[in-house]
Parts: sequence; structure tokens; C-alpha cells
Amino acid sequence: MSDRILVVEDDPSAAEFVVNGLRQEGFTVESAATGPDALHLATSEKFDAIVLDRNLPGMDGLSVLKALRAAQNRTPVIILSAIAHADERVAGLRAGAHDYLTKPFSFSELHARIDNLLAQRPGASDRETTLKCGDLELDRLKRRVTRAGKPVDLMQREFQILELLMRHKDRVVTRTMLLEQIWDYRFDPHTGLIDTHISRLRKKIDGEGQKPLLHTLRNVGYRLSEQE
Amino acid sequence: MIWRGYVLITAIVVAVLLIISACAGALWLVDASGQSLITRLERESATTELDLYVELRREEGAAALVRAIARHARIAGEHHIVAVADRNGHLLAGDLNAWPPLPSGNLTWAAVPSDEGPTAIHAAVRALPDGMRLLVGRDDSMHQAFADAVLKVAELAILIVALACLLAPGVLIAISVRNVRELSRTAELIAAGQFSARTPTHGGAGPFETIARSQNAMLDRIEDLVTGLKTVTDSLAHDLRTPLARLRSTVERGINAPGEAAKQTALENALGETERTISAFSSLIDIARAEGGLSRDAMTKVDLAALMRDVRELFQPLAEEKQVELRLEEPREEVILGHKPLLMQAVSNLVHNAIKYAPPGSQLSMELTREGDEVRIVVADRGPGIPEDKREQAVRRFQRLGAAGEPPEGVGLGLAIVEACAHLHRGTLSLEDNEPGLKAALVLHA
Repeated sequence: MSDRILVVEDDPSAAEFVVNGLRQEGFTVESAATGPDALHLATSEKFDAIVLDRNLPGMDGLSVLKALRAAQNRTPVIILSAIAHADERVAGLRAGAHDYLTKPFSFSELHARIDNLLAQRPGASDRETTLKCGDLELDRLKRRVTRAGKPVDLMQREFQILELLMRHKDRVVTRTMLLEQIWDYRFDPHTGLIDTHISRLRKKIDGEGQKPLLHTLRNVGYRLSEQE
Repeated sequence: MIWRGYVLITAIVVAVLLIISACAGALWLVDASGQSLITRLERESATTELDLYVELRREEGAAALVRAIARHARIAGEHHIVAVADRNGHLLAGDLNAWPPLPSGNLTWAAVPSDEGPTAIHAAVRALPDGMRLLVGRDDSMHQAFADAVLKVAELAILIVALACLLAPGVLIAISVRNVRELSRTAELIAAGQFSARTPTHGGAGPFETIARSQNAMLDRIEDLVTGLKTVTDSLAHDLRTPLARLRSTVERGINAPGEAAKQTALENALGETERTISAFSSLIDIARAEGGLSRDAMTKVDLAALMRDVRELFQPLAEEKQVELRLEEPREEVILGHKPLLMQAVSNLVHNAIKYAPPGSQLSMELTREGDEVRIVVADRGPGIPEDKREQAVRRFQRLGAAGEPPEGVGLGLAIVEACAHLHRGTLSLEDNEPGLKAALVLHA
């Protein structure tokens, strides 16, 4: 059964953009256009994730989120916010959101983040101490990485990046997600900055004659996977 | 507000009544003591005169006394009264027409009933042993003259006070009105769109000076905000035109492109253009929020030393790629109250610029120091630097100083964001000569 997503957005064209995109990716999508509708749907049905706009008629997104959390509803929530509210990211996270995305965003960014959220569900690979991708292994306790049994020497930051990519194995991790989660950056420095970090990491894990595992997706991000 | 007027009027009426009664009391006191003094002098001189006549009678006889009194009555002034009568009360000599009907015996100072015109007479009377009676007195002309003098002085005083009362408020009101006019003229000019209008100040400490100064300070701030906002909207309107036009032509080319691959390339280019435009947009909003002080709400404790280490670590691979050595000198910890995302962006922009212009093999230094309340973040490179006359321009929005024809990287807001960050932290951004190279100092007020 596919994952169920609730999209709450009052702007019809923006809602259509998100809803259609998610349906194409194979999600089951419900949508709501006002705060009270969203709260009603979210509490009466079961969803795997909620995409929640901040500015809503009737009841704003943060209030909906607070009401949900007060009712012991733990569904992962991504807040969508206008640029002018970019500063209020902390307030959003404090209210119980798992992620905070500033509009305008690319669909692939939202998709990657939803995948990310769903992967963090209890019982997902998050709890495992050893992460694997083909013959690449990462031991989270011993902080050791091996490729085909041979140790790979990584700097601390490289280890963090690899760990993030392995946790989201076969899924896209965007540049912004890396910047936010590894460096705590809230803006895109617009250079090949992340690319240089990734290509250093790639040199260390994808050796000569080995099957490449770390893939770059132009304009989107990176993916660690055995498949091309 | 009407009751305020009533209170003022009541206060004025009460004050005027108090002043009038105080003046009337003072006048009465002056008059009464003056009159009693005059009376005493008149009585004493009359008594002395009577003593003289009694002496004359005893030594030279009654006939000599009558002659002396007749002579004295002829010579002395009008207000001086003297008379003598025999034992039967017939007038023998003097200023009076007849001996007045007075009680018998001596009188020290009594009013004399008189039929000689309106003037009142007071006199002392002495009875001699042989029954003759002597009278020496004064009419009330002295008293009248004194009362007139007091009244005249009072009139003069009232006139002076009244003039002062009329003129002083007039002068005060004229001064106030002039000051208020200056303030309101400034307000009118502002309302008419002339934002540079200011009320002239003279450096004093009066209430109008204070108002004028705070009005001017307020106007300075408003002008800054308006100018900032105008610059942002102007620049947005101007600079979004280019990427939007490029985007449009890319999309158009994609539509007309023959092959699938060409269409794909056009779409990817269009996405890139869109992202650049969005990024310029959000940078401009960051700048506006910082310059407007709105981001101040989001300030937290930030360890600048850790922040510098993070930035260095982030840029390390890029620096290595360009063969530039990144050196960092920082204390173990330097915590200030600041806007962390903006500070990170500012320091990143400085380091990024420096790496961009640093020649291969050169050294790039990052430095964090503190002096009193001032925290200095200095990023210095050995690149071409910026000529002194171009430094101000470099900080302006959408200014790119790169060589002509070179495709610009980024949107030209890097240093503008750094400066906005400096202003938000009540600091400055200064660009200096690193001999050779550029030394950018972001000074923050901790």
C-alpha cells in the first residue's frame, strides 16, 4: 500500500502542483484548503506525512500543527513558508514540525524531503548500527567505513555526509538538505561547494575499477545506490 | 480637551484676584502708615508751638501773645491754623473767622468743626490760667497730597504691570508659534514627498530643540528605510528583468528546438535561470529585513569562533581546488548575541569572494579578534584587491566588479548582504588594502 500524504495549501495552483507531483510519484494524496478542514482530516484519518502551508484561511498552519501535537498526533509534518517568514523556521520546528521549506521550492526538493521523513519512521533503517550499500559498509558505533572489506579513511565531516547518504540509500538527498543537516546552513552558497565535498568523498569510496555508488543528479542532489 | 481650557482660565482668574488683593493690601498699609506718620508730625509740631506761645504769654503778657499770633497767622502757610480767644470765647486773633465750638479745657489733637469750606481741620487746644484759649492746628492738605501721591504711584505700577502682562505672553506666544511653525513646515514638506526636509536646530536644550532633534532623528530613520525600500524595489524591478528575459528566450528556444535532447538542455537552463532569480529575490529580502531591523527578533547567542571554524571547513575543499591556503586565527570561544544564519552567510560571502580572487598558491587569512565591545572578523586575500575609488561601489547591490565580458557568478549581492549584516549588529563593513589584495573587516558591536 502506498504512503498517504495530506497536502494543506490554500492557493489552488500551488496545491495542484504539489498534489499532481506526489500522485505521479505513487503517493496517495488528500488535500485541504483551510486550517479547520486540515485539522479535521488529520485527526479523523491516518496519514504518513502532512505538507502544511503556514498561511491558511481560518486557522494558520502553526496553530493547526500545535493543535495536532496537543492531540498526541505524531504524524511527520513539513511546513511550507513564504520567503518573508524564513526567519521563523525555529518557531515552526519548535511547534512540532519535522522540516521547514521556504517557497518557492522545486518539486524534487519537496519529494526528497518527504522520502526523508518517511524513512525516519520508527523501525526504519535509522536504528541500525551498521549501514550497507553493496560492498560499502558504515559502522556507526565504531565510526568505521569499509569498501569491499578494505578500510576507507574519512574525515569527520565526510563520515557525517556518508552516514546521511547511507541512511537515505536509494533516495535523493538534496544540496539544501545536506547544507541544513551537516552544516546548519540556511542558504545556498551557490558554488560547487557541496559538489567539491561530494567529489572528495566519491574519490575515497568509489575507487578505480569499482562500481560507482555515489551518484550526482544534476540540479537536484545526490543519491547513494547500487543502481545507476 | 475643552476642560483643559477651563482649568487654564480658572487658574488665571484666581491668580489675578490674588495679585489684586495683595496689591490693594499693600497700598492700604502704605497709606495708613503714611497718614499716621503725618498726623504725628503735625501733632508734635503743634504741641511745640503751643509751648512757645505759653512761654511768650508768661514772659511778655497777653497783648504780646495776641500780637504774635496775629503776625503768625498772617505769615504762615495756608495749611497752618492758629487762633486765640478770650475767656468768653471771643476770637482775639488768628486764621479762623470765629472761635470754633470746642469742649472746654486742653485738647491734644481733635477735629475742629469748621464752616470754612470743605477742608477738615485738626488742632491742639491749650487753656491758659487766665481763661484765654490757644489753638494750633493743620488742615488736611498734607494728608490729601500724600494720598494723591500713593494713588499716583499705584496707578503707575498698575500700568507697568498691565503692559508687562500684555506684552510678555505675546512675546512668548510669538516664540512658540515660530518654533511650532518650523516643526509643522518640516512635516508639511515631508508630506509633500520631500524626505530630506529637516527642522534647523541650534544646539540648545529647550523643549522645542528637543522636539526638533527627535523629529529629525525619526525622519533620518524613516528616510533610510524609505531609501532602502526604494533601492530594493528599483533594483528588483531592474535586475529581475535580465534573468526573466533570459529565461523567456531559453524557454522559447526550447519550444522551437528540433530534438528531444535540445529541449531537455533548454529546460535545464531555464531551471538554472529560475533558481538564480529566486536566490536574488530571497537575498534581497534578507537584506531588507536586516536593514529594517526586523531580523533582530531572531537573534540568539552565537559562538563566532565555532562559526568561523564551520565556514572554513565548508570552504576548505574549494580552496584546495584553487590551491589557496585557508588560515584561521580565532579564540577558543567568542559568544555574542547575533543573527546566526545571516552571520554565517556574511562570513561565507567574504571567504567565497576571497577564494574567487586569490591567486593559486597564495594564502588567505581569516581572523577573529575582540577589542572591548567590538568584534572584528577580518578576511584578507592576496588577489588584485579593489581600487579605493571602487570600494563603495563594490558594496552596492547588484554591483559586480569582475572584468567586463566575464560571465558573472552569483547575483552581485554578496557584499550588500555582509553590510546589511553589519548594520543589523550595529557595526560596519570596511574594505581595506591588504598590500596587495583585499582586506575585508566586518566589525560587530557585541
